[in-house]
Amino acid sequence: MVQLRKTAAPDLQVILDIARSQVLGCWRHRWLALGLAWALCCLGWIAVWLMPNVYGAYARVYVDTQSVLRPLLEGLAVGSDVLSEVALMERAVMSHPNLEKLVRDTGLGMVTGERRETELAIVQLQKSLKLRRDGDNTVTVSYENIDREKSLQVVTTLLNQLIEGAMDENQADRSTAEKFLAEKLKEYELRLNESEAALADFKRKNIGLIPGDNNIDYYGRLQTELAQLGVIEGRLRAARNRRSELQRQIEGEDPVLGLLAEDETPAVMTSPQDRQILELEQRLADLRLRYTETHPQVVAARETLEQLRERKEAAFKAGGSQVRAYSSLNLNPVYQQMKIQLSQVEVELAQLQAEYSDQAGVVAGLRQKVNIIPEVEAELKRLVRDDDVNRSQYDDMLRRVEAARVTEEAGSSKGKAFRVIDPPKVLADPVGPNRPLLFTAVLVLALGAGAGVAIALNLLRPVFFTGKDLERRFGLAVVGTVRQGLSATEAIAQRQAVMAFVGGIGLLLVSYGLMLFLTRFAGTASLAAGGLGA
Amino acid sequence: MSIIERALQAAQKPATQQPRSSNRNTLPRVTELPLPTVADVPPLPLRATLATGIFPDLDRDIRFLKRPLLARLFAPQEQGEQQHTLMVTSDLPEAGKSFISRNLAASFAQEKMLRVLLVDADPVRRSLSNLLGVADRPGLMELIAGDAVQLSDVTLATDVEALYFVPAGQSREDATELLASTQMAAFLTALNDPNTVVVLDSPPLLLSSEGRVLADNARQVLVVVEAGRSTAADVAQVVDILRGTSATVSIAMNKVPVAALSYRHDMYYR
Repeated sequence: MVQLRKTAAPDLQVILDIARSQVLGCWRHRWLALGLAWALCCLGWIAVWLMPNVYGAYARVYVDTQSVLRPLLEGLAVGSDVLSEVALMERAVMSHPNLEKLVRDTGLGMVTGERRETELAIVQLQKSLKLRRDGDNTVTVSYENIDREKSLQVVTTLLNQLIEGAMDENQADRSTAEKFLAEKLKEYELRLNESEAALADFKRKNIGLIPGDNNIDYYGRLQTELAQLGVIEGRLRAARNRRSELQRQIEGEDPVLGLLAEDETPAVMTSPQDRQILELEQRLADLRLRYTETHPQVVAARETLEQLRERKEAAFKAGGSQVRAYSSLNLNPVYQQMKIQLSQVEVELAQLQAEYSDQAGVVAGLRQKVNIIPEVEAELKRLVRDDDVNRSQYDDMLRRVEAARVTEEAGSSKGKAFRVIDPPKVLADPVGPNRPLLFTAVLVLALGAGAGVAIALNLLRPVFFTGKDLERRFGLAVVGTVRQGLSATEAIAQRQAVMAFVGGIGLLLVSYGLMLFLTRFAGTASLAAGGLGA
Repeated sequence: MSIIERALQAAQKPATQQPRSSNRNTLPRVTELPLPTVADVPPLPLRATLATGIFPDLDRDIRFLKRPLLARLFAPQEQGEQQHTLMVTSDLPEAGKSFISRNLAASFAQEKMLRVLLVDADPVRRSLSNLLGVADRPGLMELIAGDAVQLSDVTLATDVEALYFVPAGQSREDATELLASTQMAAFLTALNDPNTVVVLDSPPLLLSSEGRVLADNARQVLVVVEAGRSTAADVAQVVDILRGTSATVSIAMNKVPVAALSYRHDMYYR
């Protein structure tokens, strides 16, 4: 257990000893450190006091990211992110050309007019000009400058640029959208024309194969034609039956009808020459009543009559019985009527036969095209569909263009994508420099520098405080250690020295507090001055 | 030479009266064999300047320091020599050499059978001589310069028993050369005695060159390192210098602030 303690104890002890020696070594340089801290504090605080006040101006704007593009291209293109649009705007504002314009407009770098000065002013602007996104669409523009008026001017100018730029941009947007839409419209129009032309061409080429307006397709048509063919065939058969019946009746075994009336009307039934002779005789009698026998007309009529009588005699002699039988049959009205009917049926039959052959030709044609027709119909359907699609798109585009026109008119009356919420305003109190913070920083740095110097000196010129230190350093055995014996006055002096040192540090802290107090006082003073100035 | 011899005789007088023997208990006390001193000077008030009066812990520190030093001083020597000279030096002045010297000397004197000759070997500062108010008296310088002075003419009694003091003497231009001379060595040799310890309050090593020679002569050197002032470089230099001599080097820390002493250390002492 003793051994354990022996092995365990030294490590911590050694560390403690070394730490103690180091602290004491640094303690040697305490006055130098304190002096340095004081000097640095004094210099730093004076420098902080001498720093010019910085005045901050700011303005808040509402950014309407729902630009005109959005409603127009709804469903056509993918909309962009609102936040990224604002970020894009920020980048655009902070871009070099924009800042250069701002510098030129506000005359920031115009003291000597050198290029380098302008560049310097731009860099300054990049640092002190800030765009902060407050909400979704609200952006605060702030700028700080040692010149109160200048800072206000910069913010105002920037705001104006923003609004002008936004209007330009909007118009550009709009024209871009319009151009886009117009191009699309033209494209769709072209496509529609093409499809329509193709459709018409196709129809012309396949004129016999395309169903009519009543939308009967090929098979329907074939059936119709076949049905008609059947009808014609039926009529043809009926006509043929009728004809054969009529022929049978006419050429039949017992033509009864004419024989019965043969005895009763032989006188009546004279030949045509007889009737002519009769008529001529009557006419000659009339002429004799008015004229003499020698009148040319009477002579002519007498001669004609003579001729007729002679012709009749000759005819009668040639075939008296036949003519007599024939004429008697011919003179039968029923027979004549049947003859007429027969000839009518003959005519009808010929007509029907022609019709039938026509219809059969049509059906045969349709049958022949049974392989081509479906292809043609499918092609037709496709063409029609294309045409429909193109037409609907074209119509849609046309509507959009109209909408764009309406939007533009509405937009030009409504105005801007930027709305100013808080107009540019400069704060009465200077926003910077943050003197309390700087004072604190100076104090901390000064104390740190003092401590650092003490530590550095101790490291550069190490000293010894115990025999252990020497042993560790040189491996020399130290035979003894004599502590510092202080007389009463020496002890008091040492204590006083320590107190003086602590007092020095305390005084530094008090000075620091005083600085803070003075800063607040100065702040209110400048506020009052600003109020008076305003 | 005659001076040296006379000094030698004077110094060796008690030794001759005291036969050498290993059994010291039978020997008479050294205090009964006083060194011859200057008669007309009252004992110097050395006691008042000792640490005992200032801080009791200091006295204890000196005692702890004394033990190993005595052991080294009385370690067996070559050829039966009896030189017991301790040179107290430091790297830089104001390290507390005089303080350590007189306290050690007084502490040695408390040992039985020892008489101590405290020599102010720093003719430039003469701090001990000044302290004791005998700076104007002839001392070491006169003795080694051979100005017809005997050791008994410069040795002064103090109010501490068995402790004698030799002042530095008058400051001279050739003081350093004298200290480096063989006469100094002869002086030390003359003080060879089994019961006599010589403590040399020496000049700092880094500022003058005679320290090196003194160290050769003294053989035992105590380097006083001032806590918080002597730098590592200084100590290293001192160590280098002494390494070139035949001296045995001991190191003592002086003016160690109480804050530097560890808790355990404090507990041990109190």
